[in-house]
Amino acid sequence: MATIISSEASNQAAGRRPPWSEIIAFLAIAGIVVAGVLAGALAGASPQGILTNVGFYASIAVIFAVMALGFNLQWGYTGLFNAGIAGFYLIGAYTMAIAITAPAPPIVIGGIPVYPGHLGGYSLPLTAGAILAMFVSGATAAVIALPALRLRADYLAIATLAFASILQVVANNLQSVTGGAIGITGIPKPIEFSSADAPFLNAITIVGIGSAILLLLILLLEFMAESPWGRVLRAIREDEEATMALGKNTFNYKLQAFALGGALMGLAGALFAVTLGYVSPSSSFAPAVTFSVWVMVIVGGSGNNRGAIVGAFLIYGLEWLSVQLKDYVPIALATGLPILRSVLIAGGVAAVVTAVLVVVLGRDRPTSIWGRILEKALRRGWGRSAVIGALALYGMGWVFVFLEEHAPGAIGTTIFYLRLMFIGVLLILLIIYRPEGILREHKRVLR
Amino acid sequence: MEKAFGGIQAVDRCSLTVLPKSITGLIGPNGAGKSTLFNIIAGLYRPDGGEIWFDGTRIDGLPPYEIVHLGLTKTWQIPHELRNLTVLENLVLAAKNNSGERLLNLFLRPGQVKRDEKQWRSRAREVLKLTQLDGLANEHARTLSGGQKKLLELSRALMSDPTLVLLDEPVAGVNPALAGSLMDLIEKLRQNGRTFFLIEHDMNVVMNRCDWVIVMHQGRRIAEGRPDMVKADPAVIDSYLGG
Amino acid sequence: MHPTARFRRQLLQAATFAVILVAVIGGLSFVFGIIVLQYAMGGLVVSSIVIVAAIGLTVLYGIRGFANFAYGDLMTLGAYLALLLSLNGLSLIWGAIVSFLVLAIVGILLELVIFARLEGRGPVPPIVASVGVGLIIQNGVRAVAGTAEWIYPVPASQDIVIVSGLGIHPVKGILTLAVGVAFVISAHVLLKYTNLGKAMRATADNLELAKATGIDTKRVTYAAWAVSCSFASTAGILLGLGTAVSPTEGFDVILLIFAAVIVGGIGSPYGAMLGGLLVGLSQEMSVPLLVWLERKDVIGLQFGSNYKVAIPFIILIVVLIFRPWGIAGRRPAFARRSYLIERVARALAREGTAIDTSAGEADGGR
Repeated sequence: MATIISSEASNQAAGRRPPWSEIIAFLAIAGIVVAGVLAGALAGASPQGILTNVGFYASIAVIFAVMALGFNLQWGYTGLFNAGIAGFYLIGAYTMAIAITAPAPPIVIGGIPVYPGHLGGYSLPLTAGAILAMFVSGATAAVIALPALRLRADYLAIATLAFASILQVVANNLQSVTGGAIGITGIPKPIEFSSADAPFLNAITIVGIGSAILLLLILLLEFMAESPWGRVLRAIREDEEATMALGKNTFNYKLQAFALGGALMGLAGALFAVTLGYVSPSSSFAPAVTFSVWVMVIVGGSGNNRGAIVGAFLIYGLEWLSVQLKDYVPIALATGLPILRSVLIAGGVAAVVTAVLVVVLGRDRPTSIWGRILEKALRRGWGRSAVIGALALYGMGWVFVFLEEHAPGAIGTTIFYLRLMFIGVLLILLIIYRPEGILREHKRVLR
Repeated sequence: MEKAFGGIQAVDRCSLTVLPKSITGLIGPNGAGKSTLFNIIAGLYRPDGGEIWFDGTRIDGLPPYEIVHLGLTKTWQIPHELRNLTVLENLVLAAKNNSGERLLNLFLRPGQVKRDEKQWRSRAREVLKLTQLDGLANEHARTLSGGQKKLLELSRALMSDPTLVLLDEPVAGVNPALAGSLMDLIEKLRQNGRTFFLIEHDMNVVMNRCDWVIVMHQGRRIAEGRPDMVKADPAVIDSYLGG
Repeated sequence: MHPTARFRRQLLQAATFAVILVAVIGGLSFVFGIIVLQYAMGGLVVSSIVIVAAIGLTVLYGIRGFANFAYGDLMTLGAYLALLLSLNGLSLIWGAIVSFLVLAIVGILLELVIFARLEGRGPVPPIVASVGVGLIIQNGVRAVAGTAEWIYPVPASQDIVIVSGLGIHPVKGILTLAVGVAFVISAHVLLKYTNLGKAMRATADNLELAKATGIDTKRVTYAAWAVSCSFASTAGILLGLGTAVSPTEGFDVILLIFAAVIVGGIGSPYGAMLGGLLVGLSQEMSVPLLVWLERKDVIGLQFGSNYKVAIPFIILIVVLIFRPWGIAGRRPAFARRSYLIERVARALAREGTAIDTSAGEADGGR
């Protein structure tokens, strides 16, 4: 409660405050990209390879952004907590794959089916495939919605999770349709490049197409969200009973929001199929994807479309970065250990000195610069969190040093999982202390 | 308009009728089932038996939004304001047939959408003037005081041009001066042809403002009549004292 | 406390259910042979694990009121803890006991640090937080122990043959069943005969009323977390014995456990037992049916038996649609109406009979 009122007050008082949180978010994303590039360079990759890698990051981030926008529509605006995002994603990806690949009959070698073949292979153009993918996912979402939307939030989460799991089982086993565990391969790219630069150019194309789609989506969604229709959605999220009593058929609205969100997730799946070139029921459609999208929307602020996109780039950026670092960190730590250690010691000393100065000098002299810093740091919550955050980072630095001395090489793989643990911690901290997200929702005013 | 009910535990074989263009009061001790009755009429709960007729149409079993479209609205005893929306948005949401609320219209009839929205916003401002909330139009509803939230409830109920308004404790927690002007407003609206059916615990309001009073106790209607007659009815006095 | 009449009715329902179950299995095995019993046995083993887990989950769900999505990962944690201890010399029994106690403490810590702060914020924030907890546990386990599967260091053994065609494994079968029964009995004793158990049942039934009658709901909440997580650890160990210990072993079965809890009725441990039984048996005994569906002359379903895991999910979804409060739950007083279903029902009724829509009981005269 207190946070809401204080931010409200500061919003009103400040008027045109610079959007600090957005700036920090953009800086963080830039930092991630730079770190990834550095890691790649130090691991000895070519400029071409590094750029392709960054392009890959951007394309997958775009795909997650589309999913996040879909989930934002369902939950951020309408309050429908969908735990089966991965399921609609899967439907979109497979529909796209089935629609646009060439026919692939089963390959039987010596009486043993090596490749089970898959349904379709209609070789439709990409756009048609994407539209079909959106339509199928959206329609499935609508069908699911009919019985599911009257369930309360936690039941809806469980039901949608069950739905997504069933889909994964089906995708794995319905071999003649989905290609089983192997999946569907040979999905054509938007433009077929044949030069040696092909991976890089493919990445660029996907990023281009993806950004165009994102831009279009954000314009469309903002328009829809600010409209009277969007207003009803927000009302439903606030208090569905009251909205019903105002004369709205809330079920219709929930159905529309759920179906549209599902269609967007299907679109993301279609893009994914094209980016990767193949689809398989592996971890790409696991519940972890669903949870990542949750984090992205929560970080960006539910109900905030721009925030959802920023959240997607941030969270997926962390994942991408951890993969890059997996290779680089062992090398770096081996060579850089002494440097890291001296930096930590120096930094620690400096921090202690500054802290002592600020506290001692600032306490009895509120008008001096030390006093003002102290007052600002203590008053705003971020002062305390910044201190805690800095301490945590510092501690982590020492942990790295010790671990590397006693178990060289373990960190590389561990970082991969540490990233996921960090996301878990982030999720918990956000939902407790800052459920409105890191980015601030711009205040809506009706004139 | 008339209503007739069957059983549900909170409302037990209650039958009553409300005449058009009246201000009818519904009183009774706590737990008598008055709010539940309102919720049933408004379509939020389903009666286990009996029928509800409104203006010649049978409305029991209909979902709330259809009942609102037929001209029957209800306010909440504990205000159900939409907290994170502005007061103006709260009101505009009560509009009937705002074309912009249909998804397809956004794209196929943008002009109509704009016009409807403009029209409803100005009407919302008019209603806000009536209830003296116009200064708060752009404030978020959560910043309103308790009394202001009650006014918001009433304003919302008036937006859709209803024939019958169910008011659940419309002036509870509102300062007497404002309560007085509110009831004046209701009287004026009644003279324009609307009917009001209100639950109130404030006996001054009931005695001075209602044409007719119905008394409920433990889910049943135990008395009705003109305010002064009901006041003297021994069964009514018993119910309040004995429960 | 539950009124005696209701309890008697539930007991009767449970007894009827058990009798029908035995009759069905008996009948099927009479017709199709002893293989049915083998599948039923497998189903019972799975049910044992699910029941232990489901009791833990439903206790927390009923008292704390949210769906703990980290429950599977808590099971995994328990399994790994026991593994760690048994790899370092402790026998598995001791490992299980220590794991039981440690997880109880973990549960209390979770409530203290995280979930107490999310009170009153609706059903979604605790779910999100529990997903976070699950992520931390699952990946912490991966970081420390790697992604490969581990096997408990118990001596390998063969199935014990009871009758020809029906065998049971001493560890995976007999031990699991025995532990399952033991936990069911202890849960029953705890809930029915101890003061804490009674307090827990009262709180799960009606939180406000429990607080009003002076029950220390804080203590009950901690107790619920402790019981929940320690049951999770045992279930995780049993699961690890039955299959293998892997970082995702718990998360893979979480939907199965949710299915058992919801089918049985949230908050009711007896419902969890019934639900677990239903879920486990239906999963295993669906295999012959699915295998039959694999035949080309039926529908030629490929890998039919792999779909067995989907059967409990389908049951879950059906229950959520038609009877969300489960077997042992109570219909909420003012249930969410489904206007769509009502409209369909009304339309169908109109087709069937002529309804007299003339004036009803217009008793509202003056």
